[in-house]
Amino acid sequence: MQESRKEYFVEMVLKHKAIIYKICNLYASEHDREDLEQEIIYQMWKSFAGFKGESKFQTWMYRISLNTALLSLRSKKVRHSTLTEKEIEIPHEAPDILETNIQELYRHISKLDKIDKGIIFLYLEKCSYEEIAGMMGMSEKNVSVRIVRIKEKLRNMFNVKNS
Amino acid sequence: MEKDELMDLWEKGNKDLVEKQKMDKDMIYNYLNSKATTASRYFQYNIIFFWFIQLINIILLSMNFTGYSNNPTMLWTLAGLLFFSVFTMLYGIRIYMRYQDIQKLNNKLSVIIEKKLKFFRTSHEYWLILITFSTWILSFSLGVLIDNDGGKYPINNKLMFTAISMGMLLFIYLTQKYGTMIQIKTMKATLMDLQQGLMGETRSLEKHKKRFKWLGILMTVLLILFALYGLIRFLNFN
Repeated sequence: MQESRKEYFVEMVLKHKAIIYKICNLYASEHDREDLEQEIIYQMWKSFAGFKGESKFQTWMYRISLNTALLSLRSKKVRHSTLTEKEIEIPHEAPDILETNIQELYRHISKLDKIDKGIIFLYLEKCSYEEIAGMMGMSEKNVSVRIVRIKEKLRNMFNVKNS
Repeated sequence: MEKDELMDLWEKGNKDLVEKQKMDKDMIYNYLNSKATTASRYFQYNIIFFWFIQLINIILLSMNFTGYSNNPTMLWTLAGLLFFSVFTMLYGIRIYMRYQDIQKLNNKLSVIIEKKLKFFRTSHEYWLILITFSTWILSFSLGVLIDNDGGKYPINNKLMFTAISMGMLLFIYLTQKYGTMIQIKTMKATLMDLQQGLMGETRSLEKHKKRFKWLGILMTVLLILFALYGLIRFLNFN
């Protein structure tokens, strides 16, 4: 029973591994990325007993992964500052505009406050305001106000860079 | 939700990134078998360490019962301390379980932080007081065992004894408290950021962290000085 549950868990994590990957890129430096990845998966497995399937596995995964990244006690290792170009794992075989832009976006998001980082991440992942509010424990109004503010900030960062 | 340019960039830009991700079944199984994080391990070790201190206290206090069997005042004191040690030992089990409970992340971020803060303000605070006294009990029970003067425990300078004991209690409490101070401050700041919709709490905390670092260095230096002083006195005494 335990083994089949474990197998199901591993399958689901593999299916949605992109979530972990993106969060680690946002919250950890190159050296700590694997540590955070490990911590997220470990915490998810610990919390898996409480997953009753009322919410989608993906939504549940967003919740646990973000909570782990935000509450990680390895404060020295979890970054709240800027990621350098080298620190973001971007494939370098064929550099193009899209690649440069996503690199820029990651770098700008990493400059944000850790809560804002989480909110904009969920927004970009197409979570609804209701879902974001539910995960963070904020009001929907607060979420919408903050998203407008963060998007404005990101646009400004892009504009400054381009000008 | 309306699709915007940032969302579009995020979706398209991440496609390549995700495909390159190196994560397979074996890696996940390895992670599942790994141990808890450094911070939670530290707290677990702390509880286990002080649990053993209680065990030593119980043994030492029980040994003293025979040595002071004709001294009713000492017997009552020892009985009180023994009761305290057993209580602390049981409380250690409770706090270990409570700690496991607050480690679960299956909830809203704000709820998790509130639960953790409540734990650090109540259960953990009681634990700090209990382990502070139990460290003093360890030193006291060792003292009464060594200095047993035919069933009597002579205190030559009561004022000095009280002052040293008070200083010791305060020092142990503050050292333990310091260990969780930054963690509590960080959680408070994050919670305030979430609740008020204001940013900057977590940022202003960074400045405080530097001060705490200096406080930590100062306490370590003091601890080393105390240890050296004790060692020199011990060597001179022998």
